Amino acid sequence: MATVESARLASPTSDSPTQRQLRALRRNPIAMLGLVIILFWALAALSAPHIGLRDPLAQKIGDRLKPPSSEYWFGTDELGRDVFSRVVYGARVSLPIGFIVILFAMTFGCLIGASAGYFGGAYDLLIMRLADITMAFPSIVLALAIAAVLGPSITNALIAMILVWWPEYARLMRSQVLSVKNNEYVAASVALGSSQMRTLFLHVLPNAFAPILVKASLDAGSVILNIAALSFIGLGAVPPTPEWGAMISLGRYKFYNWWLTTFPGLAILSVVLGYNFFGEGVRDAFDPRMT
Amino acid sequence: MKLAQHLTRRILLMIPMAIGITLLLFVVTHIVPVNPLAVILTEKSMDDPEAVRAATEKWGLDKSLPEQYLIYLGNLLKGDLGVSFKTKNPVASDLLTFLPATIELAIGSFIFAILLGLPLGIISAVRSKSPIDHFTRIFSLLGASMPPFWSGLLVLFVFYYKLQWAPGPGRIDSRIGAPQKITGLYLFDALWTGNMEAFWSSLSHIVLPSVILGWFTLALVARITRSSMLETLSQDYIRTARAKGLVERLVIFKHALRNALIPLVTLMGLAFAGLMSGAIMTETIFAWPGIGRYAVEASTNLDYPALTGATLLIAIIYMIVNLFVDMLYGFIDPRIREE
Repeated sequence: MATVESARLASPTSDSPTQRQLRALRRNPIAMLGLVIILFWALAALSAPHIGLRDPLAQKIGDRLKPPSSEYWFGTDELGRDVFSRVVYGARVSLPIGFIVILFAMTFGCLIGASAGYFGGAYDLLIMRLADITMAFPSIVLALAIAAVLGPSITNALIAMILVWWPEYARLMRSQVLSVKNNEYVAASVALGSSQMRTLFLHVLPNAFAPILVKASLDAGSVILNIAALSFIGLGAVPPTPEWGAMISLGRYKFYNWWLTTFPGLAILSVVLGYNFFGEGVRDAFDPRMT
Repeated sequence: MKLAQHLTRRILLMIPMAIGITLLLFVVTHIVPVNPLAVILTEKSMDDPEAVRAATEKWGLDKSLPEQYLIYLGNLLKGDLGVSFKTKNPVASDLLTFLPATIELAIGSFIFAILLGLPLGIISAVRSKSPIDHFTRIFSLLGASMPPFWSGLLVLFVFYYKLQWAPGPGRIDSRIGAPQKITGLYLFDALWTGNMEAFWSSLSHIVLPSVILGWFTLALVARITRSSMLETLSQDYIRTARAKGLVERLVIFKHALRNALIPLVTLMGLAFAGLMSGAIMTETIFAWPGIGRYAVEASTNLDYPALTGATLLIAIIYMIVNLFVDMLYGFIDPRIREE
């Protein structure tokens, strides 16, 4: 171990590929801009209760539908609630949900896809046909049907999104595992007598993971868009939760009260743009073939 | 010969796929153990023993789930998708009424996406890293990052409410009314019957939703055209064409563009999925009476027959589009057939 460490110190120029890719990512201004936007919203979500905002649920009937002013930066809605504080609090809904959907879809998808690719046979066939059938639907369409059947709630929208999103990861992971499986180091590990699980988790998965992470960072934006869409339809967050899609839905066609839809919409747009900027940077750095 | 074989195999493969789709939808609608009668009948007819018996018999509700699925499949083959609670019409005939609006909107947005996306993609490849290249990139990213239900409201606010350049939501001015029905595509029908008033009205109504719906597709078209063009422009035969003194315009349009367009074909399947997802939101915002809006209304009214019917139709169309894309690709690029 010590020799490896000293060797690295001795020649600082010979980086690992991962280090090189991370450096390329750091030097991509657009990707870093995306990261800053995401961090900004994450910070807003974390600090929302502690920075002296008005209660996003507090109604003040005397101040209904007030346009933006120095008192109410983004105006007030029909129930006299402060739109600015609702937009900031909305980050506490959209950001974690996007993260959870991606995390679960990725984890399930990877485990299922990796096992299918590694073990093969009838199990592989069954899993892949299920994935094909799920992917035969445009994702929001199937999510809409599942969310409608489960009933309107943010948890159900989340479940619906995970259910329609895992197959893409499963399929990608499976093909990764199939290509990694035939490498010599995997054969060597099997020859040395390590168990199938050990080989799968220690040697195959880590080497198949890069494209999965690229895909996850590219997908985060569309997941947030779709959750907002489900809430807009009325199948996601239910009132009075301050959720961006639901807020836009409340203000639709009220053109005179333009602030009701403008600000939550800008919030969605900036978060999704942030994720897309960052995701494209990650893709360019780690997997230039996908460009 | 090879092409015919390839086609037959692909078409036969669609059958198990279609069965799988219906099975998945059947499972989805049975995830939650609700009283299936409540799903099929309205509240009023629940008290009517005659109606309850008829529905139980028709859908085999007293039988086991696998048997029920077979009955559902049998009804489906007869074209019977059940009756929508909301419209009280058979779902199949509802879908037929709503489908042309979606097709018309899809065509409109596709035209917009190609007309703008293709030149933008070509220019940003030829003038790579120029301001117009950056503009295209940002414009495309905006299209992919804007929630269509919000950008729809935004353009309505600007062009309908503020500037009054465009009409409000809907397919046609209600004072004019729909043209005589031939295909259900208003623009086509109006032209065919010479009803120019209806034609101009539906044309002005379709512009905004087409732009909103097409923006996402435009982003895809511009992006793929650009990367495909860049790759083609670095090929040896392009250098040859330039070396023999061809005008740059000829090099780009005759030699590069033709070859660069092949990958665009695969994009059509992807673009169609985007169109269908976008149509759901765009049709809702623009009060466009298409399949997407029908599905959304069904989902909020818990109108299960209508919801499964619309979802099934979208999935089947999606499958057929993908088949068509595959065929086209096999036709253009013979290497695909060899596999």
